[in-house]
Amino acid sequence: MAAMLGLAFSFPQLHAVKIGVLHSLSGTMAISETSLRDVVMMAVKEINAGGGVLGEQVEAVVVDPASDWPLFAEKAKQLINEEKVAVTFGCWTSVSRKSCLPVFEEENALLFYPVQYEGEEQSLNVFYTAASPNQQLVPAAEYMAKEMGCKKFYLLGTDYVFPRTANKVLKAYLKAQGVPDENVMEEYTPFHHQDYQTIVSKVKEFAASGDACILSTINGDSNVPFYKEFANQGLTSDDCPIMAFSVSEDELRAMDVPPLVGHLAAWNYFQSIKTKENASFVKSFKKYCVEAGLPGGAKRVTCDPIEAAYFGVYVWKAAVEKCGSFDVDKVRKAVYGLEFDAPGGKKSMHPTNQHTLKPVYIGEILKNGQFKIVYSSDGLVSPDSYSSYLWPDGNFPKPTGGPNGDGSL
Amino acid sequence: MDASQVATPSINTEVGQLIKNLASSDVDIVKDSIGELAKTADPRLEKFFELYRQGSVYNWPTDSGVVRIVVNEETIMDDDFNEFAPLLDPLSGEPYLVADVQAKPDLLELEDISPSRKLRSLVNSSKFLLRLFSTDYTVRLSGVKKCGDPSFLPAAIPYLEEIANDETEDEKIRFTAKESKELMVLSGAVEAKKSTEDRLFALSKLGDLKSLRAYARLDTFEGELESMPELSTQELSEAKASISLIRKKIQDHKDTVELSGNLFRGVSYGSVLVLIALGLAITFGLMGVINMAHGELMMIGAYTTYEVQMLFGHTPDNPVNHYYLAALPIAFLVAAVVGLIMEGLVVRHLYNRPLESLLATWGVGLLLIQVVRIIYGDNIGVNSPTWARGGFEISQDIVLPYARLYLLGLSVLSVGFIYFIIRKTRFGMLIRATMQNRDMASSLGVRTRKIDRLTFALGSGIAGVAGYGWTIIGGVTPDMGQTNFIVDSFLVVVTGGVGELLGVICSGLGIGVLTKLIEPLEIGTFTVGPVWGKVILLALIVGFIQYRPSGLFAPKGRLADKK
Repeated sequence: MAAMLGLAFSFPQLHAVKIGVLHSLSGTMAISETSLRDVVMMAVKEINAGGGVLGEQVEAVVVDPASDWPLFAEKAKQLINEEKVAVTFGCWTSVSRKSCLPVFEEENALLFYPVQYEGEEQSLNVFYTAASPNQQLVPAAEYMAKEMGCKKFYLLGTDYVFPRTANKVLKAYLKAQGVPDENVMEEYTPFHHQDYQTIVSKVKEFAASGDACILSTINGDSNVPFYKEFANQGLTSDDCPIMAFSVSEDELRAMDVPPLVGHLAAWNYFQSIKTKENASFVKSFKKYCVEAGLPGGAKRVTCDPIEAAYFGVYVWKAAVEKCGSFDVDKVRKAVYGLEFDAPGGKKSMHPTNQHTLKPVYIGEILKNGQFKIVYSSDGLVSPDSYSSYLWPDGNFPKPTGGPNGDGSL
Repeated sequence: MDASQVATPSINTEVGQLIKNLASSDVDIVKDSIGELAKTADPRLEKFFELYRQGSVYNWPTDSGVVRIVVNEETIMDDDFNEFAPLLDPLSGEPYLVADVQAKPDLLELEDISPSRKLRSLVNSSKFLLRLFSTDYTVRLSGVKKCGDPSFLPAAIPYLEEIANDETEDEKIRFTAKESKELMVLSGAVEAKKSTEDRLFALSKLGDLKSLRAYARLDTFEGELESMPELSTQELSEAKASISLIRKKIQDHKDTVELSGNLFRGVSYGSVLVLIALGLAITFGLMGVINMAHGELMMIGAYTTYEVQMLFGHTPDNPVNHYYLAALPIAFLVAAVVGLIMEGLVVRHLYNRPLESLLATWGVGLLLIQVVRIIYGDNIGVNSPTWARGGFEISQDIVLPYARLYLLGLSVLSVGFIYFIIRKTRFGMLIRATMQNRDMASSLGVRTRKIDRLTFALGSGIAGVAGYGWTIIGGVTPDMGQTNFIVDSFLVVVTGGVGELLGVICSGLGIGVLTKLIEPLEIGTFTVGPVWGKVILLALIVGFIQYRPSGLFAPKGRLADKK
């Protein structure tokens, strides 16, 4: 790690273009974000080995915003003004993105954001390479209602902006499907909540009718005690399946998996996608982790945000090569509508709204901590930056930022 | 290679033939075969259907196109990270042998034959039906239950009746079988008993059973009755009266279950609080060190448990349960040694300077977190021993999870251990002497330095035990101490009265029970829940501390002497 941090202070090479990597490497979010730093570094290494971008080697400038939200803005400023990076890859939590967003808009710089989020945002200075709500939440709720025959929904989340907004979307969707209000429960726990005894016993009561499920936006380290308590009180995925929106292969590494078998998760990528491209991506990531001596080594797994962070770098590369320039405004235009091959299959960028067209997958947890894909959408699902369930009249807010700072191109 | 030569024996049966049909491209053949398979009541098929529904059953055709049905649940990777699919026999679950070695073809050679969406629910219900014949208790119980859940399985009724009347069968299973059967009648899923009278009669039986599953369906049933045009007003009001009578009956049972459940959960949470605060009660309570690294000592205990698990090779597939018992003394020792080193390097210079000890131990804590993060990374998992899964049903609907019971026991044991050491041993006497009056003890020949060192190590060791116990219910991360424990443990110690073991026990249990009684409260449409529960609890404690600044029990020991 020291060597990578050291890059921030290394001398610029001849014919090198700098890119910024803005992920927390310490503090609470390090648990998730370190993997994204790793995979971006891997992409940079691959690109450089293949001759770089427009003949220039790529030099990654890694900074550590330390899970400290205001520090994200400060570090973004440093990357843009002092390091003069062409593009930045970074952020995980919405609050960290919101914190540095004004900096990117003010400086008209570019950020690739690789994590699924609550939507309700469309900045011309950000490309969102992970899911918007209609690419994850709604298909998952639909699957539970139609395929699993669930009639009652327990919305359980950690108390912050993503779960709250996600549940707003989910509730609006369920209402539109004719699910009566008394069949939808909503509950939040503080960050790092550890004692799920009361909640699980409530779930048990709620699910006694045998047709209930949980839609879980529980985040971070609360998932382990939640799933453990769920199993310990004798509940299984047959009694009440849990559909999770923040549990991926990477989180499952820290869990006692056998009692979780049969619970579900919705993502746009799983390590278990069976294609040659994905097999070689998984292989290279594991190799990279072993060679770089990262903790976990060959046990490391890929997951949705890792894929999104990885192909983000390639989308930027393709756009730069398409327009033949590193200029932000030209690159932005080149990204629109771009089609590309990601490890999980063909995807494309939306022609106007900054998000990514992706397939939706639903996976069931297997004993080995991987997911069995039980549902995949027909083709790519187009992203909504603003959910039509929250803006039923279609009067979406205008985009923000951009070359003129007012959301116009 | 010819399929008939390589096929393992179990597949050459009638069942084996039916299974082969599943690879057919004709939907009707597949559908009929599923029905035929369910009728065989072959218990091996339950697992098979689960795998089939999930899509883990494949056709691995021979070069000449002969169907070979195989199972692949997980893939493996070689040293070069190439992925292979080890195959299993669909019925026996044993490795699928080709020329006496397990076949491990490339995954892309396998042909996916998972059921279409339309067939999936049929497969699912066939699976639940087959569970009734399983020899495994939990599988049979879940089958008996699921038959009575939506979407109902009226075909199971004769079997459920048989099970309900079988006196050799387990009580819980017989009860659930009766319940499931009546629930199907109640929901109008049984053709022969669809009349309102039949359904009301089923409901009264469920009332006698005090069935919570029926309670959850009362509203739906009532709504259904209201929308029935053929019911006269009088019939409807009579039906409603009997429903509300039954609702009341089950409600009483439900209240008892909830209250006793809340009390147990409170005691259980309290015992966890006592356990995590116990070490701090020694290092802070007795010795007066504001030990901000207390949570990290617990983290050390948790990571030691992880190391022991790795050492014993415990994995969920291959459980070595005694690793967990072995980890107890090791976690204590490792944390105690870390405490000893900490005391020697940092704490001993700061005994009379509580504020500096706060900052210094905070720093030590950060150091420990980062060291662990560098060695282990962030995502590691401690797999509970298999006996800690599930729970014990003490009376109808009141389940005490084994993991919680174990922690309760561990907590009692640790308190007993500390009490014994402090009150009944010579070492404990010397600790008390030193902490109460250091100069006097020293002049009487007590080696107070050594006592300090050992006492700190004892407190640290107990913190390690708490971290060890935690792994059975919670997660393990490098910063678990800061995010989960440090505030709670100070809360318990300060509320209890610094320096008093009894205070820690009373305040730990008190806070635990209070939290679990406040959390589920409903005031009108507003449910308190964990967020507001914590706010209310902290407000109560602040109020309490205002009223009794020295906590439940007045302090004794070094801190008290200072005042």
